[in-house]
Amino acid sequence: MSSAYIVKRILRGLLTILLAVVVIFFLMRVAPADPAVVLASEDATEEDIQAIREAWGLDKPYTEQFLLYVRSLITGDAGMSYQFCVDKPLYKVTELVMMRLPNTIKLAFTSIIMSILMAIPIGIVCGLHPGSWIDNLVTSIGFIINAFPNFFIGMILILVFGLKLKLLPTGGNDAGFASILLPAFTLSLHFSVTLTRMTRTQFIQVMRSNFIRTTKAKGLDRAKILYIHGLRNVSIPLTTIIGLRIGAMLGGSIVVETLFRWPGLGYLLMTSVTGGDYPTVQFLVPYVCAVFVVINFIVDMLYGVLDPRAKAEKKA
Amino acid sequence: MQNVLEVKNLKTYFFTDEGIAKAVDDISFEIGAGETVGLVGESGCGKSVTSLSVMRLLKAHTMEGQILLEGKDLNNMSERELSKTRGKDISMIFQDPMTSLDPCFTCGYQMRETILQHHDVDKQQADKMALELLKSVGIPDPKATLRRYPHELSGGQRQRIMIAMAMTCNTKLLIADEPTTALDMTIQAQILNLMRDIRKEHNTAILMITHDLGVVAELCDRVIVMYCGKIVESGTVRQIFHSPMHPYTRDLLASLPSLDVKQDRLNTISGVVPSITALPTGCRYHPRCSVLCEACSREYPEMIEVEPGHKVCCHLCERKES
Amino acid sequence: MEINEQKFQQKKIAWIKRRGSKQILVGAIMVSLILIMVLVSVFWTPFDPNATDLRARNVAPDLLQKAHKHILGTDQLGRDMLSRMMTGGQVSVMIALLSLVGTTIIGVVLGLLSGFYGKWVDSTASIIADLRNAMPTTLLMIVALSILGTSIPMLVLLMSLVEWVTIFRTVRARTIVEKNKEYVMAAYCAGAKDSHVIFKYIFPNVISEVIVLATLLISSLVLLEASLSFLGVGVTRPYPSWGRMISDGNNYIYSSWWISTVPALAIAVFVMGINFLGDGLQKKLKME
Repeated sequence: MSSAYIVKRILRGLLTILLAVVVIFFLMRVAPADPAVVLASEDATEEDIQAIREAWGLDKPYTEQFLLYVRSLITGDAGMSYQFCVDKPLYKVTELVMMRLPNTIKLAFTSIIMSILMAIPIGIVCGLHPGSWIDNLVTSIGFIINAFPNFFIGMILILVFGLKLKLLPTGGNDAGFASILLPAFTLSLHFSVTLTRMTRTQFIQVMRSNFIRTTKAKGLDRAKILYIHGLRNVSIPLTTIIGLRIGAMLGGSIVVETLFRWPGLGYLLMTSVTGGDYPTVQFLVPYVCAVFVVINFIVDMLYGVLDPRAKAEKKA
Repeated sequence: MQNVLEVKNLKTYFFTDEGIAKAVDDISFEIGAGETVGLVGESGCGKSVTSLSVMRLLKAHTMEGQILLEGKDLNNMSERELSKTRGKDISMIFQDPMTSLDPCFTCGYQMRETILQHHDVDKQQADKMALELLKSVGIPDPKATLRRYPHELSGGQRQRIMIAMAMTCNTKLLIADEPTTALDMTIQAQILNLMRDIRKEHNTAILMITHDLGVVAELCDRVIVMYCGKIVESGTVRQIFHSPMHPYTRDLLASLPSLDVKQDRLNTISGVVPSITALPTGCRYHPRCSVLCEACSREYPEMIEVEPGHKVCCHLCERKES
Repeated sequence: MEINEQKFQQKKIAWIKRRGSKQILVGAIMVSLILIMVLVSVFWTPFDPNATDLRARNVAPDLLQKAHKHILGTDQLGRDMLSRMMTGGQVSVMIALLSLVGTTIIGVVLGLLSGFYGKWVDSTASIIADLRNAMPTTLLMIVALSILGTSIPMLVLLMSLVEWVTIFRTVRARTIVEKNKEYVMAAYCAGAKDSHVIFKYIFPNVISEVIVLATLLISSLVLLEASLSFLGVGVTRPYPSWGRMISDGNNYIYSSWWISTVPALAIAVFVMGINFLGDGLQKKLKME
């Protein structure tokens, strides 16, 4: 992999994050509601609002405000969050994010692992017997799952497992491992469909290839052909989409976290947005973009490691 | 001479929308120990299907007949028995060396797994054997090559590795499906030389699938000519090249450019290869044949032996003899 | 081998074409079912979709109309679910279609320009597309909608900005191929202007692919609208939209599951129909 390529990727990543920062900055400034008024408590006087304005630098020119904002992002000193407070702020924004981050990571990985465990074996079976009844069944189920919004599927799961059968909690994160099952499963469904399809088509393609024919001609066992040569070749494209999915999910899944009141970043963002907690929004959005960009970058690099051909291409 | 391979009444059919495609239709031939047999014909005449059928690498819709490899019928074998036989008693190299090796594994790994499959050795010994094999196929710097990935090697080197892998067990029979078609002219010659050396050294019988009559003349002992899924003529190289009997063989030879005679145009065979789902009645070559008789469109001619070892399948030859 | 493979290919093509036509038929039936229902609702619905009937709250669906006249039941305020589903479709389908138009225009215009003019136009457009792909757009949308306040025009505008990249990439690639063909050269030699070449020669060649891609996009836009409405930043009261209705039913899921399920089924039938249609068209197009 050439260093020029890496530099280009890093520059583009930085540009993306910068763009997100600019977008958020201007959104906040063109908002119809005065942030200072929103931030102030309801019985605040004109002086209180003025004080908030000064504390937040909202009275300064936009360029200076922007620089202050960028500085706060870099230093991580993003001020206090206006959530969970009656009179005075309870948490720093960064504290709040750090509290919620582990939950989002837990949810992201649990759901990805669920997807992998479901999708890859099923995809392989379908890929080995394309057109069989099991393949058609899986394809149809995937079609149906993809036609429903995932929060509706989540609602039905809550109804069945939480309310009717009373097996699993309906939301929150108070019941240990049991409480992660439903949100993670809901989150994994649509991705599982994508992953199954991908595994299936890739497997069909690989099993038809000339080098698989060679392994047969060499007299290798079927198991070795499937699980060494087949899987290894399929793993390259699968790693890419799994990686990208991790990137998308480390920002927190807003819909599913909100539905299950899962205390992760997505739910935090939603409550900050609806509760007018601008300091948190301002900090969280660029953070999520950054995570997304960084994971994309890592996946791209990983691709080079996994596929010997890509390594050579990028060298050249 | 004992036969390594005897193919008896092999039929490989595919079912398509337009009807049954008789890709290989009732062919029989045999290959003696250490013998090199060329299987020639135009594209689509069924020669590749024949080779893949012999290896049982084809998912044909029906496949009938016997494929006797040293007396054992490959066509009756289970997948398990087959994988013990493939690579050990019979092996194959393919037309396209660029895509025939797994891009995700080093050449060393792919050689080693082949050796471990068929020999009772540990990894170190297998690596040593792989090294020896690579040396024997004339790969420069074999040690480094073992650590390389297929895409880091040239087409000729990859084909050498394919050959080395095919020779892990000193197989009795090597099927080479157009092994030089995808390579440059100079590399072609090197690969052919290598195959000649291997034959000399290990007394391996080779079934050479090709459309290149030059390769046949250079390497083979005997030739089988196929047309539209049928064998039309077979004999020694001398017999086929010097006294071809079947009109198709003659036309095929006539279409070769000659250095001796100055030609303005290359000779071609008029007409087109018929679709294998809509074959002509009688002799399959008759619509393109220049010397046909009335029986040609009516019935398929019998295979007759015009001289020892020289068989041909043509009404006109029959008549000549009688 | 060659002949055989060719045969197989032909067989496969015929098979896929047949399958494609069947998919198109099934998809068209499902989509038109929903569309007709939505269109009818503009003029007539069995009940007034906003009329509350406190005596008939949370009435379960009664498909045979034995106990009451609400075939699909009523919601927590006694409003008829069937009527609401029909009118709800107006907003959902309209938003999806309008933002589809926006998306397609952005994708096609940028694709044509960047494919045709190349150079800085192309690199700028490609960087924008890359940036769009590298950003969590839904997140930015949620933030934007909640800060700027949500309204249907705003929703359509923002939703247009989400999915244009696929259309852009396809159009761009096709434009590059087409513009280097001989007949385009010939048109130039005959004195054609750029605009003439773009609209007369290149555009007709990309349009069929764009239609297929756009068809498939409808389903993701419908689902996106539903998600946004669920989060409360999409369609707001008093308009019922399918997404809004599902999320309204969330609080009553235990006692009256149908409040969410009826609009969810409408979405599912519509999305499945669209996907069938798009897949079928894509298969047909690929074979030609």
